[in-house]
Amino acid sequence: MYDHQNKHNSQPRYTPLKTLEVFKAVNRSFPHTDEINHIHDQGGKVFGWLCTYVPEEILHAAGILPVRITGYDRETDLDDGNAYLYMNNCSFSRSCLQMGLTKEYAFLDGVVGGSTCDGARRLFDLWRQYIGTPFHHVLTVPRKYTENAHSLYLAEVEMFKTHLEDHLEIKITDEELMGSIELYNQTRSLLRELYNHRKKPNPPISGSEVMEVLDACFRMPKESFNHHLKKLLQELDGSQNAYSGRARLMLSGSVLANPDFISSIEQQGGLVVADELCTSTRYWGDMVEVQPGEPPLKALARRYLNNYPCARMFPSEERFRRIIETAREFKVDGVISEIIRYCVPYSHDLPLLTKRLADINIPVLSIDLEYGSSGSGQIATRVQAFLEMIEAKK
Amino acid sequence: MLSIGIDIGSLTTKTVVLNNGRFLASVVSETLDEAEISAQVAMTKALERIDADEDPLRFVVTTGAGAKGVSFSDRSKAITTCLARGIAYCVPEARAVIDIGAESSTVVKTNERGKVLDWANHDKCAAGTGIFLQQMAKLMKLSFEEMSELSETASKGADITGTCAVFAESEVISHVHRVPPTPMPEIILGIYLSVSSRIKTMCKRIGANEKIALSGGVALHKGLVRTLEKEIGQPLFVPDDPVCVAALGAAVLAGEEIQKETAQ
Repeated sequence: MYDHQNKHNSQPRYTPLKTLEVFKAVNRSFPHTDEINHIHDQGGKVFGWLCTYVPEEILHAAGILPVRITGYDRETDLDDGNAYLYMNNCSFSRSCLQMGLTKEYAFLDGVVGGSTCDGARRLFDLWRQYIGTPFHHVLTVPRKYTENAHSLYLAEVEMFKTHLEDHLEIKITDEELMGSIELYNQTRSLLRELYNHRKKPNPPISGSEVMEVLDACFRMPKESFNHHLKKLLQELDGSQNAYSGRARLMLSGSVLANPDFISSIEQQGGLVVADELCTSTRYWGDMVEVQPGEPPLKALARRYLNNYPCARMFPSEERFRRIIETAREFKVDGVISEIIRYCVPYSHDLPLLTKRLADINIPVLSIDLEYGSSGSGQIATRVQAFLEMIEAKK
Repeated sequence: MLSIGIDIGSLTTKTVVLNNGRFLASVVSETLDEAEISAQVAMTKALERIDADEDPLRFVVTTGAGAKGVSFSDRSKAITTCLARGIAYCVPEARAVIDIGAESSTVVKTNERGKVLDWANHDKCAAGTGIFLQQMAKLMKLSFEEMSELSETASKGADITGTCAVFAESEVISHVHRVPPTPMPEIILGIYLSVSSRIKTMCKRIGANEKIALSGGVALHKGLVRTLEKEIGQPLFVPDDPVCVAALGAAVLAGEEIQKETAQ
């Protein structure tokens, strides 16, 4: 209509990334992907996990395919979810419950969560009661980083492993754990490489495309995910694609799985280059480092508690420090905080975080939304105003 | 070349025409079902007013709720950017502007060049907006002038604490039907105070604490302005035409775009 207005968004040199189609296909067909069907045909097991404080490697070492429970990555009616969970539970927990109650997670042979926030805890209470997945486990996750916290969490991780072993009537050996750690570390370093592309002044991949990759990462066996991600990285190395925008933006918040939400920001001319989300950097941020002679379980527990922190952790300093580090590393001009309505940990941290970022001259746009939102007109208006403010400051 | 700013609000569409920074005309018209038609009608009226050609050389900047859907717009800008520029044009000394429109309220902090430093808005609920005041006036069967006058005689404001327009309305109804009923002036002052406290919070949030101007249709509502000034603790600058500030800003931005293009 008015092309001259959209010159910021035009990407003339853009050629579609072939490997991205593989990931998109997985996301479209999940949970009925070929890989999951194959595992079930072979008598294998698929477990769902919820929250980045669940050590996924243990599930993998037990021969299970771990997939992340992300609820509907679209905004939908939550009739059943609303009937069982009170409205002040976040719409993420209601969305997951809705999918559970409508039997869309019936393919799961087990669920594992962390007692990280009330939303997750209430969801699991109800899951246990009404959904009847054959295996349930909730890890208690301390909120601090003290020595006591670490030994408590290690004990929790050990308990989880034993529970799983008893349920499956197997033993998970240290060698198996080491193998899984190695595989997952490979995923982490490949994702870091992917993110390094986003540090470029004109990244070859957009924020919404990266979200497709991450979503697929939660839904595929890591073996095949790594294989395809390597191919994608090769493609990016030779790619002429170069995204540009009015400002480099970072997303901050809890769970976000809808690439359309990021698209809606990018359509306004924002270049989303970095993030601090449960479904991204906080998931793959740190490697598991096993010291010589150390039991792998101990290294796992240490990594998962010390990882890029959730807003639930105390003190908040470590999270703020990392956010500022990420913001600088990716040279962001502004941060968009997306908070799922009634998410207590993130909304309570926000004023402190805003202040910290203001001190280094990075403005914050705070958006509260329902989980799965694709970005309404109201959000677009705010993003537009935010971008104009950043441009005026430049 | 004319610089034209069109602000398509939820109730009215405002148009301002400038030529080389010089004010030519402003027109307020009703917002119709479609943004495109509202903007077209508003612009035609404004051009008639200055006896310009039907299709003069022009640069059009649109803003407001329907800004994006206008085909003849050369650029659409966020309302915050327009408010900042508009207030810098008509009240150069202002460093913040409170805009209370029909369905939203916004506070923008600006610098001396009319650039946005920060902003806060409230557009999820009608409480604290023009529509809310209109609804209350209707409920009490009073005109805005009568409301303003009556509020002056109040010694204190009735408690209206609802943060939602619907709940606030039911609070007002219960004040009216109380035995004995709460005196009308107190109810009115209570309504003003509930709107003012919302605005005050937004000012606080972004640190807009001095040289504040007021824009939007509600700036014409004298009683409310008086209460707001008392609550904020300082006089507010009210421009001659508070309704058209955002459209004026859009026209100023259109002028900037023309300059940019000629410079190239």
